[in-house]
Amino acid sequence: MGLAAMSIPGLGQIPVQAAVSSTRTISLRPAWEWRFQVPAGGSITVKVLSGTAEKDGVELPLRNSYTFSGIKSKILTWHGCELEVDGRCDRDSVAEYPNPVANPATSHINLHARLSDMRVDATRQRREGPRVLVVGPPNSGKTTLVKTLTSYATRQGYQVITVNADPKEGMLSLAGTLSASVFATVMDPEAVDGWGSTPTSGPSTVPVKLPMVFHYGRESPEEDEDFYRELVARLAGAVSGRLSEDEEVRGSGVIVDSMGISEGGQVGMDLVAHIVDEFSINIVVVIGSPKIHADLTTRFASEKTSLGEQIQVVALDKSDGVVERDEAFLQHSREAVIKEYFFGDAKRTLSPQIQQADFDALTIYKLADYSPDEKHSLVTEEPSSVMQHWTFAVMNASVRDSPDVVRAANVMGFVYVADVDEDRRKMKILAPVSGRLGDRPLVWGRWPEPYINLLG
Amino acid sequence: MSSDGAEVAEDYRLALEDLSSNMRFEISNLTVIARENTEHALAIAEVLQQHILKAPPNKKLPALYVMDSIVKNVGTPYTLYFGRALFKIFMESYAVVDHSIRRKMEEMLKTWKDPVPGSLDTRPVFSHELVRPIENALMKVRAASMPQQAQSAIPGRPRSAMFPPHRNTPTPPGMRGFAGQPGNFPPQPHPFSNGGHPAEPLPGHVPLPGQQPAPYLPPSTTASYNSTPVPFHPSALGSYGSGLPMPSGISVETLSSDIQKLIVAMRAEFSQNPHDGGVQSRLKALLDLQSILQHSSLPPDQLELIKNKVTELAAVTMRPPLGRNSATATPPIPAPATAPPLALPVHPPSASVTPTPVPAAQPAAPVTLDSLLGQGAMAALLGMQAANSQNTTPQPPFAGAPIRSPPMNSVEPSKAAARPPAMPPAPAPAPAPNALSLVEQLRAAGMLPPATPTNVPAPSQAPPAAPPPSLFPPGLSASIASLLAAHKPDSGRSSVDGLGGSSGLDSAALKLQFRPDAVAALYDDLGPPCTQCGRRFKTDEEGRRKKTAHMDWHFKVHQRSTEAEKRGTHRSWYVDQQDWVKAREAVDAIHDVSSKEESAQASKDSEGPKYIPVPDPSSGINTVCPICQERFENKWFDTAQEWVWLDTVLVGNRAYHASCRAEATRDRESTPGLSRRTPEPVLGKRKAEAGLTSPKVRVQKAYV
Repeated sequence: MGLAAMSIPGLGQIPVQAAVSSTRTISLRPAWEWRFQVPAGGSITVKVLSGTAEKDGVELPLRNSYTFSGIKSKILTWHGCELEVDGRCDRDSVAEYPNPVANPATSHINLHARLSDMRVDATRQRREGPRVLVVGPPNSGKTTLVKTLTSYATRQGYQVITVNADPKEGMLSLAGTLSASVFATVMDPEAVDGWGSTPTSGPSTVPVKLPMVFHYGRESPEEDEDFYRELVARLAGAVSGRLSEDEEVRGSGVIVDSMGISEGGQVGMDLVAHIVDEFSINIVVVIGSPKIHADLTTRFASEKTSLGEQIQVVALDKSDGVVERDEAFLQHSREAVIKEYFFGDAKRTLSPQIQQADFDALTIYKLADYSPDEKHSLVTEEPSSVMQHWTFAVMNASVRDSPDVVRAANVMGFVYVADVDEDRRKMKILAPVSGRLGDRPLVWGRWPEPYINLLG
Repeated sequence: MSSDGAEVAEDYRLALEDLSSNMRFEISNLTVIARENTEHALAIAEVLQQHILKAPPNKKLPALYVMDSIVKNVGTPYTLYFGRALFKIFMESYAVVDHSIRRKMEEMLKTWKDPVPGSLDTRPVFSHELVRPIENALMKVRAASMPQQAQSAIPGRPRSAMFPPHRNTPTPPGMRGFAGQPGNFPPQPHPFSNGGHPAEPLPGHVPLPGQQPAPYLPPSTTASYNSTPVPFHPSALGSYGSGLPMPSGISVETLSSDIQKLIVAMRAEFSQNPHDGGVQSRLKALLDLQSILQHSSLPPDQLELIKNKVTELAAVTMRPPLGRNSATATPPIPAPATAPPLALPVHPPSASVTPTPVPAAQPAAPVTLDSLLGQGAMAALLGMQAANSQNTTPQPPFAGAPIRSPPMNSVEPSKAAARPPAMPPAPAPAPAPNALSLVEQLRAAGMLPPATPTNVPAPSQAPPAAPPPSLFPPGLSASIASLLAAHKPDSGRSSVDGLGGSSGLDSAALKLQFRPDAVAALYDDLGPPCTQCGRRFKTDEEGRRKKTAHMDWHFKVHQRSTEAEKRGTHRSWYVDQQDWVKAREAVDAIHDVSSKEESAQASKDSEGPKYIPVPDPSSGINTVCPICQERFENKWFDTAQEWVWLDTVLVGNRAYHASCRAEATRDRESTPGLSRRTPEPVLGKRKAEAGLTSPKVRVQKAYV
């Protein structure tokens, strides 16, 4: 027996019997990963005791405790590390690789290194840095790669614009939206949506990110292809505006995360081509699908970007660590994002406002059902109890604007319908900020789905 | 006696708000009220807890003393209620108060481990399960606050001024008379027992304060409270808490020297096997143990346990070396027990501008727990509390210090072994002396590593709060690179091959090559990381400048977070496209619209009617004007689109009718010599009333 086994009585007592402790230490060699899944209700804390470690490209400094909940993720080390983990995981494992090349993460860091070279050149020549689009089938690790590339760029002082073109999940916003943000500051490894948090009326211990958000309101781009294309074009317009005006950003370029596409799906391919076109994408990264890689290589072989560059299509392997996220898990993630939007997280509690609003004081649109002769995609909707538990987008438009203007406007934020009293014609609405809601049109989308227990 | 819990709580809250010093009579007063209203104990406990958490740092100690007094003199159910959040109450307060108050809190904490003196109840004030996590957290704070001393934290060395040994705490004058029980409550019969038997008869029982008017003495009698029968140590002078007892160290000296012997033996073994992790960690554990022993007072039962453990260890593990060294009276350790304390980090002159009892250790600005221990420390500590209640393994103070380089060992043991046992931090040239630099202050507070690296051959562990910039300082990155390169199959190829071409991204090259330089570009090449967020800063001029700004940012955020919490924070609206395109990322700037809002509010106030938004009930703001004793009325203010109290100003945390206050302060200001204002005719107080529309939208705060 050694003294190390004996606890140091930090003014406490020496345990008489072996404590039922969930704290454990995990040792990783260079390029190994610790993969873990934490259920929505539970949480674990992770601390890097020695070495270096990163989560989705975000370096975890030594001895800081990080808490993760409702997550399936991994911690990667390039130098080897010791992790102290406290709490119960649904599942966790150490991915051992005989050498760094065996880990697909190596191709990610190599890709970043190449992008970094391009950024150096671009910055020197004061022109646009690389515009990267990441595509692949669902659950291939696209968003993780985009996060990692974004964080790597941030760590080296670049200010990339990262764009989420996948309405299924939000970036710095709720699901159902498309958004773009400059990432110039360290990313928050604990962020509920994996990206970070947006401004509040108070300070934030991890720098907030400032997104620009559009409301699509559906899960899949294919549900309303035309509208999706319109929003992508608007997003791209804003991004290119920023690129041309903001020199810090210009040389760093753009990284676009896209929706999962199926192999051989024509609509998906066309939408990818649309994104490539709108954002002047010059590097398309295909994860985990030789077929999509081949198709896109053929498709873009003869095309050039608006800046006259060749469009390069690169294939990367899907990591064997990518896990299927089932519908329940994803739904919980979406709800967690909604909750974080209104109420903040463990680090920062927010106090939203509950307002009672007359039906007549509100202007609510809903996404129109498909009809061949209907021109508008938005129609006004009388409040009803069906709206209960849905989140509405608050649009940065006037209630007098036409539906087409409203739907393509920027999103100011979201409100949550807590209760609808049809008899008294009143709605109880949860809003992030106090103030009259009647001045802005609200849009009732179909995605994300209602969140029954937000106030429960 | 009121039967309305809410009213009692509200009164209690108001009384607490006025509590700004630790006058014994005030505290006893509040204790008596708590005793007489045990049916509202929950509400009172809640109010007091909230008050402690929200009070400004200078008012925390008196409030904590009220809690201390209540649990000691009333006991159940208050002990239960406070116990639930004891860690939070204690640590959050501890984090924001200054050093002298921390010491008082530490003293108070110690008394919680013992039974109430004079009480028949042998149970401690708070159970060990509640107190221990706090003590563990404090150990961490201490460990973190003396980073560069960690390596020379040799037992026996006097502690720095920052954390003087409690044993040397001067006994307050009032305590001197009770030599028979040093550091304990006076031997008089204690009026009230602890542990939920408030009415239990005691020998020498004094009439319950509820049966006599004494506790409600008007302030004017403060001076003579000594002769008034108050339910506390009647002869103790000064303020409450000055006479908190110190547990006596019984066998500390013996135990200490036993451990010392073990350390000597272990050092000998360590010098022979410098790379034996087991020896290393045992030695460290022993040093930690001794440090704990030296700087804390442990209850006898724990001393006993340690003693047993040490004896056992000496008998089993250490026999051979111990035999060798058994005659050694003076252990040959680098820093003898009599060594003077290592100089604290040099303090900027600005630090001493704030007069404090211990200026040497007092940063000019308050150091929060987070700033001491790194970002998230508070949360981690809070989390630890829960963990510790099951996890009976207390954290040793230096547990955070890793045994260095296991990953390297795993890469190539021979090379790793060839390295010196530890490297000094990357040599960072001393920054230009700037007395006002926050970085200097932070460094002084132990938040940053010292400007000049110590060249003392470091022992196995790194200083906890000031880790070396990287496990792989720049000088070593080359060797790491070569190590890693040696590891990859095609190390002969230039890493730039196939990738470095000015055009073309080759999928195969991306996948099949490992470029150590790509890793280094994200780690070592960027310089050492910020201990709070991991952002790396180069050590050149520009890097240092950026780091200074960055640390300033962390510091400001920590400061502002506390206020923001009080004020209530909400999500801001997203920006629109135009603003977004125009926006520029300001690294290390605070995205905080409140300052803008506040200034807007201020300018509005100067012109329009004075009002404040109806405060949150939990904000602790009074609902009755202290001057005219009228309630503030909630009015819907259309212009502001929210519920407000009109004609109201907020002074600190107290609301006043603006007109009342103007009147009251005018009296003060119009003192001759202070104001030349023409006295206004007395028109009688009139509340400013604005034409108000009836509310269309009802606003209330929502909580989950």
